[in-house]
Amino acid sequence: MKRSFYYIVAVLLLAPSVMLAQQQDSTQSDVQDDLEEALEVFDPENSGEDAEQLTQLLQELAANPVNLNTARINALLQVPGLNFKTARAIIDYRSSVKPFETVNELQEVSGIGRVTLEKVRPYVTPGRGLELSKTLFTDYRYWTADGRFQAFSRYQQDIQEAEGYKKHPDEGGYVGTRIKYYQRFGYQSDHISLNLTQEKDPGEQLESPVKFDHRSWHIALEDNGNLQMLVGGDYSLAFGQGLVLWSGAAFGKGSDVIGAVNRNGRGIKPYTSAQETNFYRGGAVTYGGKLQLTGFYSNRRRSASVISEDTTRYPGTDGYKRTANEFRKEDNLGQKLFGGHIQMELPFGIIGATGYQTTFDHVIAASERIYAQYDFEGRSNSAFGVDYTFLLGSALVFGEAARSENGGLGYITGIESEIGKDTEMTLAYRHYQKDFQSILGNGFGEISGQPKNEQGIYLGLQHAIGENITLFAYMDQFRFPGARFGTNQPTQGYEWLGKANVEMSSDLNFYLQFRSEIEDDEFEITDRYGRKQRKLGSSRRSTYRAHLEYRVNPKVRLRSRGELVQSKKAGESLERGYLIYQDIRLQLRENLQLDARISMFDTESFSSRVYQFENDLLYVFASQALFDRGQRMYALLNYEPFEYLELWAKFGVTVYENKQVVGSGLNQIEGDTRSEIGIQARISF
Amino acid sequence: MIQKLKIFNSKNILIAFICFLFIQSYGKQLKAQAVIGARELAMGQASTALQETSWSMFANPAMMSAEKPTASFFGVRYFGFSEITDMAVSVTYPTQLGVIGAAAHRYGFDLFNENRLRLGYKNEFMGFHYGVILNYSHVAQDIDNGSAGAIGVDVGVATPIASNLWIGAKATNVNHPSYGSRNNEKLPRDLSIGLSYYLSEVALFSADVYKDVQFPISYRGGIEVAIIGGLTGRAGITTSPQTFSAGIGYKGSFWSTNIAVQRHENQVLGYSPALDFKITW
Repeated sequence: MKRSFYYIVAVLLLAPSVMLAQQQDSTQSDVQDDLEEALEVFDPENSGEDAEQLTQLLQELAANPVNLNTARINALLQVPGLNFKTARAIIDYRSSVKPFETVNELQEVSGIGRVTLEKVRPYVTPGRGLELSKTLFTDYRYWTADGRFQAFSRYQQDIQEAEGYKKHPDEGGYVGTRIKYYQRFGYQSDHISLNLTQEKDPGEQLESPVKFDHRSWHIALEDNGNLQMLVGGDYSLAFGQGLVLWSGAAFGKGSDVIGAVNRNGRGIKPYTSAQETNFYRGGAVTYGGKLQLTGFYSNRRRSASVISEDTTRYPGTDGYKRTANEFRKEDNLGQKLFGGHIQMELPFGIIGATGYQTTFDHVIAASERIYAQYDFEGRSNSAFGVDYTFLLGSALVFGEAARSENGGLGYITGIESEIGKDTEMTLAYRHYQKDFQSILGNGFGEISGQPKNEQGIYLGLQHAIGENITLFAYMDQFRFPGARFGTNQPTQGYEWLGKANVEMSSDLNFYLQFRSEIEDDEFEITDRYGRKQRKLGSSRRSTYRAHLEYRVNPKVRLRSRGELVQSKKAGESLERGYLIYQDIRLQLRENLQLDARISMFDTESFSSRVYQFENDLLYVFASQALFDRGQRMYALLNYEPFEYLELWAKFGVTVYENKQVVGSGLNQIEGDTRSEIGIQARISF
Repeated sequence: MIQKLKIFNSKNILIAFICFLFIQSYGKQLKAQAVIGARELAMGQASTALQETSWSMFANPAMMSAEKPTASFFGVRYFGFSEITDMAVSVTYPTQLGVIGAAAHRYGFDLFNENRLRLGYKNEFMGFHYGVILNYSHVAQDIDNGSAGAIGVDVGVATPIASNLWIGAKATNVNHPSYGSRNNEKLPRDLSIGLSYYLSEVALFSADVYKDVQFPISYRGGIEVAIIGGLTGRAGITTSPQTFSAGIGYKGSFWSTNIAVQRHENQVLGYSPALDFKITW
């Protein structure tokens, strides 16, 4: 460990002598910022799956930006920051005024201001001028335009040995090694996509080099005239506002307040992620122009806890096969899905409808707990919904209404609008009944994942003052009409955020952010007769952050942050936690970049934990929940020795001051230190 | 034997006991890692981005002066006890390949002392200042003849955001050194981030956020005001522990001197006087 730090110091010392070129990787850092905004409070333990997919989605979008001059409306709608109104305005501009020559020209388009432009910038391109537009299907160049083959190999490992590896598998220990290994081979051009992803998690076995624990593959034809998408293999589905079908990543409440609620369904997406459960396997097709028809069929094995011979719980999301226990339930449940989506683009908007039927080969039984009393049970389920996006003057109205087989209803609608030149607003209302059983949906809400048992109203505002100051705020009020996870009665709460971003110069950026969430929660007390009673109280978690980013010169970027967390759980007293960090990015050479950070954290317990989003190997999601007292440091190197080879290496270490064991259960480590390494190579040509 | 008895006379034992109490109850703030430099002490120890300091070898190495060679001497006597005295010397020398520095520091007395030898390097690249310190620490306790040493690495960065506004950050012992193989006592690690601002040549403000990994976060701030001629007055405060400090400095053409006095939140402890002296050539 010590040796690594001397290396880092040595690299720092060598820095000035190797600083030559003027390149800066600003796209990457914009994407990182977007990810941080979207994911900063994601707990890696709970939401790592979705977060990894969102990481990959944004980074792939940045690597293959949408062409402003050729993209159809559906492609433009996938760009974070654009909605139906602005996407339509872009198409109008390029056809009636002139084609885009630079991304900056977007500011000429009505409805796109400075803030939207900066949001959109990493994900769009004006293209290279003349495109091979008239090439025929029979010409191989049609299929290979913008073609790129990529192969990834990634290796990650915790350095300290956890409890699970010391125990024999017969006694409940892990069967495999600590190594996490991932590899991926893919070919993607404008019209064709082939991919194979394989992964082995820590603790899982790698029986032979071809038998990985997780394999995902697809063959897809994309954007071939009216055949918009044809996939065989693994894919994800996301339609409308997600009330019926949404697998994969979704933005939630974050400091990006305007795009937060309105989801533009991505439709069918070929699947490339290593996340093991959040996809469908079979075939899917989308055909049409202004009128689009989508059909899909999936049949795959899932893993679920066994209740009896013919009954299981609803399948879990982690996909781990590390212990004998986890092995027993491997692929023990079959799930079939078929359904479709129809979408019509009209002069004033888009209307769509989604429906599916899914069947399991076992009976699904829900938990006996009160909070699960309305959960799905049985062998089959279906859901149907209608979604819409309309232009209403200068405003955009969006929404979706859906019904599950048992009659439960879910509804969301909202409006995005400019108020004057410098202000934008989002207002949205959602109502998901407690018996709404949309098991494959993922709607906007306080609780991520399946939309159910929630009513809420969200108001987001964004206001630009002059060229340099932007204010963001949202307020979200919510009610859970039935018991939610961990409670036995209806509860409610609210959340708000305020952020002031000051661009003091093109190199110096500063923001202050406040965020607070107050909600009802139950707690247990023991009365004077020794009886336990559950009471309803209020819990609060607030964060206060100051963040400064300064680009000293084209080679050096500094970031400093201080964050304070106040947490008060129901029935308990107020706790505090805080984090400070200093971060540095050095562009040592045009093809060599170093990111390093030192953080100090000090929290009274887990509930006042602090989160920090870290740079990591490409497509790796890295948010750290830090708690107790200690220090974390990491260094990440990115090196591109040749045009077709790119390498990453990361070393991170967290040292705690007040504990002698880190983690718990099978993941417990003896000692006060947890450190990890990761290396990754990408070959592309 | 007679010498040993001399060391264990009642005064020394009392002092050792007091030192022990201080270290137990107030921790690092009273140990040798407290700030070095009378100007720095007077300005509430907010030295991470402090401009024109001559004690960067003990604060943020990225702030080492690249203009002229300097040699500085410092002493502080905590609460008036000669047995808990810090003494330090620092020399910096600009070269074409960057500034190099060497410094030494001794804290304590013959029953317990801690010595540090420091070698530093600083350079600048298009407004980006960075520095590294290699530090050898050695502790000796006479009571059971124990002594141990360890090598630590400190790093610092700093940059002017505007011509009169600097931001800096430094971290100490980033390689996690520890004393001895037996009890593995870790050397203190801290991270501080600071700003300093010159208000039209008349007043200098400096502020730090300072976090020692084992202790609560501490906020530090100080102000320096030109009085007349080469004479300046200073005042500063720190939290966790709460201290107030003040001092004056005089700057001649090739030398300068500063005095400071610090008052600790525990008023029983009284005042700590400090003095430093610097020559440049």
